[in-house]
Amino acid sequence: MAVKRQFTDSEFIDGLKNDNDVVLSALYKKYFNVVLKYVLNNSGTEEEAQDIYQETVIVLYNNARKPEFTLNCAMQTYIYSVAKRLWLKQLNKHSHVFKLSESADEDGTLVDVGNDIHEHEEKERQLFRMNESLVGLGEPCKTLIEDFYIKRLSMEEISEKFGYTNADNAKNQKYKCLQRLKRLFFNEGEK
Amino acid sequence: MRNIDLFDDYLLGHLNAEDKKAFETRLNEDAALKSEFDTHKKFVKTLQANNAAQNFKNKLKSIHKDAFGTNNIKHINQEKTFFQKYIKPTGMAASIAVIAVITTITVLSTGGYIMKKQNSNYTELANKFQASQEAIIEGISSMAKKKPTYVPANLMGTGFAINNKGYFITSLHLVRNCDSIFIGNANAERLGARIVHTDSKLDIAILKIDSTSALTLKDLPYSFKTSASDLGEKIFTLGYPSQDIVYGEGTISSASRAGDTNMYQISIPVNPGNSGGPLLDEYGNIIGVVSGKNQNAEGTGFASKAVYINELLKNIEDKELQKELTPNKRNALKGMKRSEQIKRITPFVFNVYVYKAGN
Repeated sequence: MAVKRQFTDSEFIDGLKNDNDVVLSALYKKYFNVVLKYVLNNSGTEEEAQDIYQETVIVLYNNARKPEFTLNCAMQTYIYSVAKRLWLKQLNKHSHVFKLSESADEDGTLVDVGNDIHEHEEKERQLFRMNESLVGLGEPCKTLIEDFYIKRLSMEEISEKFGYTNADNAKNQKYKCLQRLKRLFFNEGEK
Repeated sequence: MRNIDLFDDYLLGHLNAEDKKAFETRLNEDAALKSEFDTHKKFVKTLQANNAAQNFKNKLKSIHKDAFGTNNIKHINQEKTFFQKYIKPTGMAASIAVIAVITTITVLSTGGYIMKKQNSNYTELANKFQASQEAIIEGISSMAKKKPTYVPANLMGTGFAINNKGYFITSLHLVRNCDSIFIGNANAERLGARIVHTDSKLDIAILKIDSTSALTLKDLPYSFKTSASDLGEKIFTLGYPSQDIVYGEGTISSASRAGDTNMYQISIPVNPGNSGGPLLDEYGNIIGVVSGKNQNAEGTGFASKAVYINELLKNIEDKELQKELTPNKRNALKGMKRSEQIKRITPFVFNVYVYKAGN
């Protein structure tokens, strides 16, 4: 039987910084139950616990990747604090103010993660709008834009893939698609 | 060349060293260009971040699936299957002993599952029992006149029959994440039950007893009301806040609970243990299921609306289950004196015993 590798908190942070999938997976497995237990104890379902936990890991991940980030409490405390804030927000959103157990946390400590959550929400809003805009953009523009900006295909490759007569033509198409995407993105924002 | 194309060439590293430097010099000198560039750069970053975020989310989902599987409801049912598989065939007496042992172990190993005190203004009404508290003793006459001793349940509440095919309704918060559920009342010994359907918005769980032959219920005297009830309507409830069934009456005081229109606010002093109890109007129609109470205002409670529960039952995806759950339409309680109504309803209202380990 394979011996399960145990990571320290700082190894977890380093792993997240370097996009190490093994570390990410170990971290994910290690702390899921903490959040699951909390959400279940507070009127949530396993499915909701899973969503909250994944959002929590995203907050941690985005933070860990900042050069200046240092974890100034135990990993479990951080994860618990973030998950709790996210879950309370979720409950408020649906005005389902069920019982909230204050004492379900193992170590009983919470850290202030208000800024992290605020930043996360701001970012999520932007990303959500971008995602919606991309969906609204439709094909072939969506794929063209992604091929160019994310897969970083050259104009020649794009021209070939989409059947444009030459790279300049592809560039014009990309320009038009981008302008449309920008319009969708910024107009959505004004609504 | 369009500015955007130049920006992209720069951002994606398509410029040679010389052009790159020339562009950077231009940026430093031309504030308008710099501002246009910054906006574009931010936009492209958001575009790329969105893609990275989607990938990361998918990665987490796949880690979760690998580690914990997908279907979460199944998880609960699997635990039920464990009980059914290993305990049911050994017969009632043995099963009680085994359950007692298992529960004792889990209770001891976790130091006793105790629901924690809450700070919010809403308390769910599951009755809390500590391991040290008196054991619940119920007689089973058929078992050699010997009274079995049950390990105290971790949570207790109320449930009532939806029909006479072995289906019951109770509060989801009471039975959520439990290890085992039993129901019983003065007329019926403890019967093992399992969750067949839940709805978290309505705080409702549908239970089915494992052995339908163990319980013979007559036709239900009450029916589910299919329309909403009005403010001020007189209502009453029956429940098990203690070992004996308790009657409570009042009125509907609000059509919603803090904006949640799935629930009525009711002016009935409800207690822990009332959760899952039926809420009836004066004609004996079920108009809701008691769910919780308002901690800040004594004497007020909340109940999930029957009109939505009806909808829920009608729209269960599992067609077979949906057919089984057709609620009773005939009401035999109209015009009766309250005391007579209660007498008729009581056999259909049950104590719900919930066992769960702390973890």
